[in-house]
Amino acid sequence: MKKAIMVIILVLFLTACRSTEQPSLQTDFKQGYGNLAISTVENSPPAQIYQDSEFKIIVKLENQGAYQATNGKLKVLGFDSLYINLDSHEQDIASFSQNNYLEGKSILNPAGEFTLLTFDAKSRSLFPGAERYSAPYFIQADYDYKTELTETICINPKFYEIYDSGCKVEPKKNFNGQGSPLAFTSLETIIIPGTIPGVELRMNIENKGRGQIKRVQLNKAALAGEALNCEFKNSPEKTAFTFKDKQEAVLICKKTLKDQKSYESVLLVDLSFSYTLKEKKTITILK
Amino acid sequence: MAEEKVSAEQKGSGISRIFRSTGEKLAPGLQRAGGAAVVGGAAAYAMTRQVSKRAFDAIADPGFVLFILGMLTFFFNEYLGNNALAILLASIFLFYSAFFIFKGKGMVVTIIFWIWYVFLGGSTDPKLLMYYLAPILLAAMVAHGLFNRFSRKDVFVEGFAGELIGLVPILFFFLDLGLLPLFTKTFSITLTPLLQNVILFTPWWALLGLFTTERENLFISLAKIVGVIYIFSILLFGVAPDAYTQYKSMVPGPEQLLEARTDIAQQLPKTENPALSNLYCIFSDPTNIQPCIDRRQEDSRIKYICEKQRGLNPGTAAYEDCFKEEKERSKKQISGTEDITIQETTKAELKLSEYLKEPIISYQQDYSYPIQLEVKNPNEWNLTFNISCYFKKGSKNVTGIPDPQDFIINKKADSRSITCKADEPLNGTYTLVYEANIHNMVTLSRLTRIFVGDISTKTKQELDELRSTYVPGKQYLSVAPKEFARLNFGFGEPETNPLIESDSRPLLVSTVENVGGGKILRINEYKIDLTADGIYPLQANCLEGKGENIQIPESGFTQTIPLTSCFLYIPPEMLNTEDFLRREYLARIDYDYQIKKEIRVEVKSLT
Repeated sequence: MKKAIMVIILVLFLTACRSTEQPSLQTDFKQGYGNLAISTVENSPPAQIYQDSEFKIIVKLENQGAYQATNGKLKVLGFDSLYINLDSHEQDIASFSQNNYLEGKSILNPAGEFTLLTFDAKSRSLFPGAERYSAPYFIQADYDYKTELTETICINPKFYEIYDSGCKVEPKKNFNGQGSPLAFTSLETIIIPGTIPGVELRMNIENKGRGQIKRVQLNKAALAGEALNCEFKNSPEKTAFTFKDKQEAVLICKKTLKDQKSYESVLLVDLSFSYTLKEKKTITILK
Repeated sequence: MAEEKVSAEQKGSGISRIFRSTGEKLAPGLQRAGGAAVVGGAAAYAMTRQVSKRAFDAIADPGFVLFILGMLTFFFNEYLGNNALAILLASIFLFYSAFFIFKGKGMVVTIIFWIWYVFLGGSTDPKLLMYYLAPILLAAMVAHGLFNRFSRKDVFVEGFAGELIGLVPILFFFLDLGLLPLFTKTFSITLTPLLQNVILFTPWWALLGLFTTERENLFISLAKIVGVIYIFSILLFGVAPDAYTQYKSMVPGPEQLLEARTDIAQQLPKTENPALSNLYCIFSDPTNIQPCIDRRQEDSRIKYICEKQRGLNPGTAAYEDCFKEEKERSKKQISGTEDITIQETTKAELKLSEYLKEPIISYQQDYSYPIQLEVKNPNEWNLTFNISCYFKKGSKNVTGIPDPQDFIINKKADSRSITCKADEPLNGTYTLVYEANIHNMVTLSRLTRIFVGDISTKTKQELDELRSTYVPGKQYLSVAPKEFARLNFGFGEPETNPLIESDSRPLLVSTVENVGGGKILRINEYKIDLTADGIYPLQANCLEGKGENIQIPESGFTQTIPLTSCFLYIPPEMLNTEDFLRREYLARIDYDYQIKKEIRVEVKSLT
């Protein structure tokens, strides 16, 4: 009997624990390097078309990241008008419900939102004597995206007092993405001891997606709800960074510490950026 | 292995014995002379003795002998100029290498090959091959195997399979006569610098000799080092050839091989041997070797044009002017490449009927010699043909009367029979030359350019991707089907750069290149179409031209001539594009072209 009561109590404990884990399911989407995925609907366009024929390019865009893709434009580039004519080579990215954004993965929509965009095209005559013509082209999506880092870190102003009963500072943490192609890959916590102690947080940011980032903007950086003083390393602008060939940056945030005891605190950094994603395709025109 | 070597040396070859005995006789004489001249100089005497001994040792090696003879014939090749002599020399080398270098191992195969190829004209008659040559070859191989087994107590298979080594001298026989040029002509291979060098500057027999020497001494080692450096010099100067585009099964005769070699050599620019350029530049300009080689090659090409083609004497003002003018021209030349998307190209070929064989022997004075003109005209252009013919004997030409003389072909494929009759009696051997002038031949070419806007907003990865997608390999050049001639054109900054940036001031450069085996007689007109995008020339109109304004030699030309170049205006909306624009531009050239065919004929009298 006693054993049965013990089991019931244990089950009650376990179920109680599970219910508190519910919110963490939501944060699970903010992992990895999810991004927009570009594909074409099967047979639209077909791999081969005949000259002087009409066809459609139907592009499927799926938001596989954890954030909204906003202000998006989809372009079809690289066709030579001598061979392929497009009615329009650019369209705004809009959802089926006519919103000008695509929702990311969430508990309500675990697969992320997707949409379809159609381009009408017509092939023209081949070059005299040619039997076939291979026309490579790019489907390019330009959109705004974001990434957020939410991490609990330990702050210990008396860094060298190893017998402090509080938390232990982790000098370096590595991350596996926050559900966006732009990822915080590592965080270094540097405690600056002294009469007015401070903390320096060095965050490495890297484009882990296949696209290109032109510019990153820092929207918010806070530790325990208090704003941090941040700047991008080697950038003329303090809160923005222009990416070139090397798609990575270092964000350095500083704060003076008032408390003298160690404590755990939540770091929140919010970045937005413009992203260009290209998918290369080829269509062959036959005589 | 050591025993084999000793036995080989003991057995020796006839030639090596002669050289060895001569060497032995002469060496002491030389040694005495050295000793007398340097009285008391024991060291010098010993050195002289060593050097002379090594020299004679080297000469006594059959491989080294082949190397020397191969080099001599290679260097004096252009003075020989005689097919019969070339075939004779190649035959001598074939037998020499089969007998002395490969110790007679593949002798039977070599002899049978030679009889079949030179005497039977390389006949591919299945009956001859199946019922005569194959059994003879098999019997001879078995006999060689049995001979090995019983008389020399060797293994049967060694003698039998050893015959296969006879294929090596046969391969070199073909290479020497012109196998590569024939492949180049037959399979329409683009003449890359590497292939040009291999065709023009490879002494095949000398290489075979050098790398089959048996002895090792200073002279041979030095020659091998020089040989390796020479091969590298030639190979490093070029790039890999393009792939074969078609395949034909036909055994070419020795005359065909030699003819192909001569034809290809005539088409190629006459430049200095690249090995010589390499050697010179290694010592004269060691920090800047490649530009130095390019400069010497270019200078030697121009020297040939001014000295040999225009007949000007070096040192004269006219020669200096010619040199400057050609140098300036070469700076503005742009090349093109083959359009591989076009499988069916316009072709015209004069062919001897399969019923006839060279030389055509006739007993009639007024015999009409037939030839076939085969034309492929996939674009159905209106091609006007004008035929002429003559009989050549030494410096004397006898006029021929062709029938028909003029006609038009506008079908996709057509074939015409043509005859040629001498207008005076013939006697003896002649070369009958047919010439077909094709009027108003049209060849189209196209060029891809990518407008990339402000390059500072693009990453290197983006630009590299555009380049590899739209202008891979040599596609940054204009492309044209492999026909008789093509209009090469390019614009950009420089004109070979396919990416047009927002601040570009593009220069357009164009040339006409002869890519067929014949002559361009006249350029009637050309047009480069850029106007659809609102692009126009800033100075003189370089986008089109008419025949009367394009100067070409009266005899026609076989290489490349530059056309007018100019800077272009490009509309700002194209230059400042946000993403990128890919454009293809077309050009058209209308020209007259001459193809030629030579046939040997022999007129015999019945009396």
